[in-house]
Amino acid sequence: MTKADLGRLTALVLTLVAAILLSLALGSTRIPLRGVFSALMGTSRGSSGAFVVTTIRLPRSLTAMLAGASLGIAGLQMQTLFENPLADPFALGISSGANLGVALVVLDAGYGPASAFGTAMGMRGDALVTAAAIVGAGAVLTVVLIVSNRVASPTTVLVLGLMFGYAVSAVVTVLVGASRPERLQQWAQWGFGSFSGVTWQRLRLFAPLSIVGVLIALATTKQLNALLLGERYARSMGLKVRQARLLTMVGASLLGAVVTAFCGPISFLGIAVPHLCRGLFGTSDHRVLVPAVVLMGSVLALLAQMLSLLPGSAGMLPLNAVTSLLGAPVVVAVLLRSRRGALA
Amino acid sequence: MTIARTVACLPEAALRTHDLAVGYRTRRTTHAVLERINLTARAGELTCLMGPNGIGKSTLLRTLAGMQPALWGVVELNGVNLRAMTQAGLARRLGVVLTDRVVVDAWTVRRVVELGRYAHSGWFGGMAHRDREVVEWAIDAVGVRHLADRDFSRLSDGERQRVMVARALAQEPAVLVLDEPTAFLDVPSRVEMIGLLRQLTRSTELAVVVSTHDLELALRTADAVWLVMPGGEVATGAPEDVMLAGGIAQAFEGQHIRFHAAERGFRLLTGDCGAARIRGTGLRAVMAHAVLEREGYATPIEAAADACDVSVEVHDSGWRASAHEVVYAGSDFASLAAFLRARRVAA
Amino acid sequence: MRWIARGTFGAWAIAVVVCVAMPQAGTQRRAPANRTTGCIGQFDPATDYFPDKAKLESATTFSVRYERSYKVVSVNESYPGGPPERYALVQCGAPPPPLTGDLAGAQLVTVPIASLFVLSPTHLSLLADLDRIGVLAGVARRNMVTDRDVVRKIDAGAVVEFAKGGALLDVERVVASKPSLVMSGGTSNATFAVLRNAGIPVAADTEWLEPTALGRAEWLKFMALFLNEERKAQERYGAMRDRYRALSARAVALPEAEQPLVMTGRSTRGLFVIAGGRSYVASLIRDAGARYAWADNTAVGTATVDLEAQIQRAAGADIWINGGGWKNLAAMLDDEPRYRAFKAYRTGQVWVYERRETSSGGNDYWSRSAMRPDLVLADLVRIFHPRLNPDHELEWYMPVAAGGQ
Repeated sequence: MTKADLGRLTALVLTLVAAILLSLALGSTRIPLRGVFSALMGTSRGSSGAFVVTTIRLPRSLTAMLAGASLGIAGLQMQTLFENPLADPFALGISSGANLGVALVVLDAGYGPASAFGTAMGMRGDALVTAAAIVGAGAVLTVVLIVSNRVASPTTVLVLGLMFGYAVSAVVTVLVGASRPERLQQWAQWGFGSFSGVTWQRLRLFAPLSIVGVLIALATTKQLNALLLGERYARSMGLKVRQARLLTMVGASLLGAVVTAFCGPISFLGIAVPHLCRGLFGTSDHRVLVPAVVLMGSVLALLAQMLSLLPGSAGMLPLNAVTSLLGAPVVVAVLLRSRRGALA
Repeated sequence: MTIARTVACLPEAALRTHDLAVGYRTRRTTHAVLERINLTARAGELTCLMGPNGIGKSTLLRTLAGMQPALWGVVELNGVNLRAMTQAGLARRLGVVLTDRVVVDAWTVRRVVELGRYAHSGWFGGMAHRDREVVEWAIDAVGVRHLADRDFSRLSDGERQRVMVARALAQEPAVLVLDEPTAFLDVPSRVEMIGLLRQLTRSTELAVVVSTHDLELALRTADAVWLVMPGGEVATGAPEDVMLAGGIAQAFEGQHIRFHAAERGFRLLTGDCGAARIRGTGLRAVMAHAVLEREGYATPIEAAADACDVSVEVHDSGWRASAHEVVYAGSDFASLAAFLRARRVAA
Repeated sequence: MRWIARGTFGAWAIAVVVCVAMPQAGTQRRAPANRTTGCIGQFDPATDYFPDKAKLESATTFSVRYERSYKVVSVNESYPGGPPERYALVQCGAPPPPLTGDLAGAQLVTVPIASLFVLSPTHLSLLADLDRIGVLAGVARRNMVTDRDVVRKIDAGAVVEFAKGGALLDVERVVASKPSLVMSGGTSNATFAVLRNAGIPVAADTEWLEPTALGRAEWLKFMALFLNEERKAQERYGAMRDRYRALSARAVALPEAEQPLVMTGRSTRGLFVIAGGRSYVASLIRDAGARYAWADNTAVGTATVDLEAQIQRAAGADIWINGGGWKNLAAMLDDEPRYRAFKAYRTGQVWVYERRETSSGGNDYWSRSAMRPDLVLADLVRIFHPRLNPDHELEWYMPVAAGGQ
């Protein structure tokens, strides 16, 4: 890590701090920054402002950070693993799996057993949706891992994941087609994505899972770097490729699945954040990229979250739309700039 | 007495195989590409692996490098069975350069070489003092010091290949295995690459095994040759021993091509237009010889003037050829070749 | 029966003769009601064939204009944001009007319709309210039907199920059955154009876009227009409106201090889906003598607001209605722990319309409440101001149980 890298990381940290404060201060309720601080310090317990800050804004900001970091890291891992700049956390069909799980309980078009089972387990509403997403993503992941273990080429694994995703999406489409119209609203709502639904209680599950995923990525930076030269070179330099591939796939999919389960399918961040960081830091070194992606992912997710709650409008912009609208032009700009540099 | 001493001087075997069989194993079938192979690559020697296309050179090389399991038999590195080694242990004894095109953006040459320290460095791949020393040594060893801070993706093919060699050297291996390192290079880069490898064997105790199609280059440069014959057996020895035993001719000669051991090269068979005699000396005579050969004339060294169909004389300002009492002359070799072709058509 | 039919025919023949003889007297001799079945025999351009007319009071999203032998019905939006639509309803037996001028692009429907395909459960209750369930010839899915007779007809094949696959219509089945009319639920659907090309008119029932509950219920008259049942619709709607207004007048008259603050909706992933400030739900809350927390919101249907905004507006709300899907108050917190920020939650004043929910997930509220705002209002008044109608038995609403896990 060079001095310039450290400088850029420090700048990102400062940006993140500012973004956190801003996200805690902005909202429908006008709460001055001093009020935010006293709420955080616990000196204004019981006031409605403190309630808003501690039970709505703080968990929401933490969720946004965790989700942004998780998706960015998972995208980075997948892009390196598959040597493909278009890979994202959902390359193995993870989000399709989560979608299927949710579709089964939300759309419920004559496929009552899934939601009946959930209800019997005492789950309804968001908790049921989250559980269904985790089960769906887990099921797809398991199948893909079992199949990919028999396949040598990463490209084949990628194509397998893609095909699997298509197949599962087709089932979801059938469910949507056969669904009662009033259920479709809830389904659409799920597709919008949201950081607001993760309460402290759910953070207790969400945070450790996503932190574990990020730690896996941190612990495997050396392996990921070796993989940059391709699997065969990596093996010749002493990397246990199969083990590294499995660990990375499980880690990245865990991150993708957990975020999807708790926040809905959030597109774009996973594919964009790694590219932004490579462009900004001018390196492919994962020892720099992993921390950079964690910070950048957090910042971008917070920004998207704030934009989706545009001040003054009680009506919400779907988070999923914001992430793409915000990020796509930025990534295009970064890629074009670095491409021009490469040609010069 | 003298012979015994010579044998004792043979360098240590760095890589050795015992009754090795290489090939592919699927769930149902086992397909051996090469069997009963006994080879030795010695420290400080450049060994070239050669043979016709599709004979199994790459399979053999991958098996030697531990990238593919052997069907039967043993591969030993410095006397240790390959199978008994961990992935990292293998990487510390054997470095590999492949034909894979490496696409990595925003990554300096030094970083690429540092990756070679994978099996030596700590958990996060941090570079200790000794790691840095080895990396700098490797950069110097392949002569890319001037490129050390350049972006790897912007190097030429030849430069990249050198960097990949440096990266393998950074593993501090006893054996370096290269799969057709000259395949995509232009002619000067090929010669430089083989020259570099030879130089590395001389400056270190490294055993280098290279597969290559550059037969003539290899025969001039290699210390030892492994020649895979069409039948699957492998002829080994110094290039001269293998040539003398006729191995090269057996492996590569075809309907229109002949190997000439004395010239350590191939000749194209272009027909039989008779015998020719050359008078003259120096480079011009050699060139005239080449033209006659290309146009299908045998040039026996001791030939009576009257037994020849054509007699060519070279001098400083051109050539004179006499055939059946008629004399022709020209100033360059193009006109000589044209004359010879016209004569053949007339006949 | 046969004799009566013959008698009717005899009287009719005389009437025609009289008409021809003395045209002035013709209008007086004709039956003074709309024809609710069959066609006229001989067309008389001077006759008003629709003596019973629908007069719209509260509905704002559709309108009707009467001519002698046809009526022009306009719908403002065929679906939210969709283009307006116009229907020329021609008395069966009368020549169709030229589709020019303001009728350009109008769909021609012959009334009274003989067979109807419906896409929404609301349409079934409209038919039931007009005692005309017999005209039903097709339903989207059998699971939207609660009427036993209709279910039997579906089993017998007399009523066709034509949209088993949710939003996808079985176009071929509809075209083969040649219904007089298909009534849509006021949503956009590409297959409607296919049906129209096949000569089957599609009318858009956008009752749910009405901003007031009474306006919404007045769409009973919309259905009646196609059946020539204006008289029945006027009567039934009028009675219902009177009950609504009478109760509402008492509730609205209460001093503002006694009017509770009301919140609506439920949170999904931290986003509250609420009734819009200009929705019929908001109008019901207002008419039941209460203040709506989002009265100034401009949405006509539902609106999505951030949980924080909802807390800011409604933390102090006295009563919470129209959430749903909760087992009990404790389970609500599992779903969304921040519900405890709401006073209505803490005091147990959470009311949902799930009293008549069937085990299969069907809810009577959805099929009947739209046409019975008087009953919805009565339920709400019973909740907001119990002493105004202590004897009212709640029709759809019930409180969320307090129970533990």
